[in-house]
Amino acid sequence: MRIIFELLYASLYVSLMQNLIFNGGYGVSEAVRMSAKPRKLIPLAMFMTYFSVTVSAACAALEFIPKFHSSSEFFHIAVFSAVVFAVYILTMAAVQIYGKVQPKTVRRISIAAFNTLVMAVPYINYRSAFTFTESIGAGLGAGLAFLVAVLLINEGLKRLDLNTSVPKCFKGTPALFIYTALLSLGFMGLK
Amino acid sequence: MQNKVGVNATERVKNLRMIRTSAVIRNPLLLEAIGLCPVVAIASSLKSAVFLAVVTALELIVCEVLTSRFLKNVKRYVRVPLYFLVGTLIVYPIMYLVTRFIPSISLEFGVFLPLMAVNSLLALHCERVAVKRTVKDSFLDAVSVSVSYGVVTVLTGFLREIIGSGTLGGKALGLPVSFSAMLTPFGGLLILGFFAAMLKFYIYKKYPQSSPDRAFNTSEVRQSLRGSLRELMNDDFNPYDDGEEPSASSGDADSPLRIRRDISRKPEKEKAEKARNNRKRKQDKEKSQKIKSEQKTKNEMILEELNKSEERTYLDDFSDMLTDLESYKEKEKENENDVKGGGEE
Repeated sequence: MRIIFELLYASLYVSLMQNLIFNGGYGVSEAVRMSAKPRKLIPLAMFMTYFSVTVSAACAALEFIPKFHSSSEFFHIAVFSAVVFAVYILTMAAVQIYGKVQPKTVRRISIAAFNTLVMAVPYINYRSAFTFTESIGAGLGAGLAFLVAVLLINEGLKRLDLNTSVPKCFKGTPALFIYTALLSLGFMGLK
Repeated sequence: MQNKVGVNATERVKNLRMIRTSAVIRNPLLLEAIGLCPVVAIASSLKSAVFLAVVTALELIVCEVLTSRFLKNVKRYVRVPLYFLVGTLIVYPIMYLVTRFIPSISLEFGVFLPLMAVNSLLALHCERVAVKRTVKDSFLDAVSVSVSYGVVTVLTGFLREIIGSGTLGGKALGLPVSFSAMLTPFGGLLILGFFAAMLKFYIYKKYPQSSPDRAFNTSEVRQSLRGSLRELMNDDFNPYDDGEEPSASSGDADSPLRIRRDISRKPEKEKAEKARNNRKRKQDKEKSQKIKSEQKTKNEMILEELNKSEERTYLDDFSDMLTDLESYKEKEKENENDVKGGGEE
């Protein structure tokens, strides 16, 4: 029961209370760009969740090693980067074994693996001293946060695109940035 | 001599146009929404914005030049982590030095200091430009993008520090109010939104033929995100080429980007054309052979049918003749009988 509570608490905290994209600014480029292409969202969000969960679980597991746990923050950061790199290589190897790798799959996996959102999760876990279960919950929450952010931005973008009273200079990214800023302000209220 | 001067002049014009396109018409931060994360999250003071601009410029220039020089023939799935590796190799020594000698910046950046290694600007510009063009072109692109990114970042940091903290470069300005919300991502995005509108206004006025909207394509925004996973996975996914090259039908048909791409891809184009011609010739040959063989079989069938019909007619004629003959014989016999019967009576 405690494990489920920790998992849910961490994932809800990271996705809603402290949405990593709106409150932290992590992965905001990917979220804004993906909001214009909602059809490509689900597979990318799945890969992102996979990477954030795997990377944060691996990094949290490393903390069980006493020597690593007591090492400096600089060393921690270097190891976390190496873990992301290793998970990416293993995933690509698995995909290649499974079948012929298509360019679109490679693009999806590389964007899902190397972005600030996935990279930030192990650092946040480390700085917040999350337990192993909480780390996995934070990984799940990062994927959920991305999904929530893209869906919210997409809904606004649809309306802004149809709205004829938006001045020509504000069409596109200017209006979208201001709308995302207001969403960010709204999420700050949940903090 | 005159020819050489002319070539140099056209080259200079092309370079200037390319710089204009990379830095203004397709401004990565304001119009393409690339590399937003560090600006939104950490460019909240002038000092941190300048630091961010310098580190990003260094990363981008080194990464693009290295990619253009060494990674053109490397497969994409190996190339992308290498950008991350190069970014890490640049950021980590800086991070170490900053932590040791300027701890205030290290504290201000926090988690974002190592995250600068995965700036989406790196992967996007390396994949879009460095992989396809010469080292010189890549360097020019990297410099122009870095300058435009840096200018926007520094201006954002400058404004955010004044409005959010009431200071400039750490010195108090004595303003009556300060809005601390401007130091959060909300403030960053808000300022970027107004900067983007100003840039668009400038582009519409100064370069009315170019369309800055192409940098952020919203044509697919109303597509449904529902569908089977197989369908969604089969959809093409190419964020690196989105809205980059102007189409032939657009007003930018003679843009330097297009010309340069055409020049750099000329041998590839020729090869592709040759291959296409060969394929077409082969297909034509196969088609004609197929038509010939079909005609041959058709002719044979017709001949067979004709033969059969001829045979049938001979037989029919013969059988008709036989029946005619039999009926004639029968008639004759009847006549003879009649004659005999009449004589007896």
